[in-house]
Amino acid sequence: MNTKQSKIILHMGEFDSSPEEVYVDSAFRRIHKGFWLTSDYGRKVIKEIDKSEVLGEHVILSPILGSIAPEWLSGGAKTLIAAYFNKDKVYPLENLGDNCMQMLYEGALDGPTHWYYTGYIPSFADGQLIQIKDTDIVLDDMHIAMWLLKNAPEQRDLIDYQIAEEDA
Amino acid sequence: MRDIVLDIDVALHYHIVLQSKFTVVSGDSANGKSALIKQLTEVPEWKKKYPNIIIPREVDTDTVADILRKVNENTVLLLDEDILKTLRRLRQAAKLNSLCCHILLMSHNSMFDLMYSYEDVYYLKQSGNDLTTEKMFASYTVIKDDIRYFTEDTNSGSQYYSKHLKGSVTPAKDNIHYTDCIGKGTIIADGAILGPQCQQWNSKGIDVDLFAPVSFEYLIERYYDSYYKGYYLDRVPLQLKSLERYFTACVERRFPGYDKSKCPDEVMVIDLLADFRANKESSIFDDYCAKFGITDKEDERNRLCSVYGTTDFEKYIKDDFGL
Repeated sequence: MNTKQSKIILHMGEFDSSPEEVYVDSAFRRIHKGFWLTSDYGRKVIKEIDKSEVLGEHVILSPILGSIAPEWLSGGAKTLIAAYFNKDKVYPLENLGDNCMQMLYEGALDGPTHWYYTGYIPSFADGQLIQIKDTDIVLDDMHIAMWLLKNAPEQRDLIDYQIAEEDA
Repeated sequence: MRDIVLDIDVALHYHIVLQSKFTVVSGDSANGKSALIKQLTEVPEWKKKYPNIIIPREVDTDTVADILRKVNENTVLLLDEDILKTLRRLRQAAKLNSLCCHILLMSHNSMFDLMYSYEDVYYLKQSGNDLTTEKMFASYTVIKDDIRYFTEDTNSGSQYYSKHLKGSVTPAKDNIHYTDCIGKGTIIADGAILGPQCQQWNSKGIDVDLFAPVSFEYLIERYYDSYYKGYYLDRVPLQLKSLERYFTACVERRFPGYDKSKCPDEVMVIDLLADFRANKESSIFDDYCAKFGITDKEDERNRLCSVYGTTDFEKYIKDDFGL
């Protein structure tokens, strides 16, 4: 029986992220490493989300677009792959659509991945655990939404805190 | 504003009708949002065919000012998630509200600085290689009988609802958030700017009992001018920040000296809600349900709203089903 748990760490706002993490969709071309795509996880993400096949470290076969470069992958696939291979970095949860949730779950089975919250939250997979950063609060997929609605800062407040911190 | 149709045949065929100032395309990853932007920016043929589509790849305060100068009513400003993040960070997002152009946003996230309606939020529906937009939210323009209603403030709408609804009407006071009212009754709010809030509720899987016509002033204007029962956005200038302001201006013209803080006596005695009540008298919709043996009317009403893209779908089902 698989007893592994999938846990992600949720940060409030993008305080702990560099521009390459915040803008991972645009930055992917520069930051990705070939083996990310040819790894089991990379191949599976691209298969499940983009319905595409990895042909090599720099080429993917899309059923619609034909042969494409990695930067043509969807924002969700790029973000999941980057987060899986950079478990010490913090990526935007808002980049992930609901169809990314199963792969988010699988990507955190080997160790927690880090994400930041900006007001949007997708529908997590069954059994997904979410720990609020710097707290002992761990919520499951059933309780995270209401907790965030009641406790998380508003989108505008998150931006205000961020700007205040940068100014300081 | 007038509709703009984007018919873009790249690897996929996109047929996107921009009916409002803002069109927000949300939905799953890999459903074609970014692919459209990439094709338009990187394939010269499409750049040439749609010279009026502006797709900024990087923004700072200067480029925002530059965009503000460039756009006109034929322009479509297409913004992806990364650009929207930057605009939020630069606190420049709210400037989009004043632009006189169509704005197509490709984003999962709510944009609380922008004044768009839940009716402006779509997802891309794929059928083979064809991609069309479908409304994300069912209509919130049916008011159900409830024990408690919550309004945004104590203004004219709240006064009117207090008189015309059977349940108690509680105006929210300072700093009372919608969140506090969820599950306790029906929230009555202006739909004209409720898009971000609806996206957020939806993203958290939270069901909300909501009655959200464009605004209370829209109900008044609709009562006096039947033009507003149909598609009316062609009357609304693009540079207006929101439909709410447009209809307030209409009512101010109709009732000189109209003050939002007090509902005019003439309005207090008319039935603005007749078309919106869930239990209204027999209608074409009821005939439709009877004909097809539909028992879950609420569910079917929402489905039809989504299929026809309007709450006034009765005229369509009348023709389509020979009622």
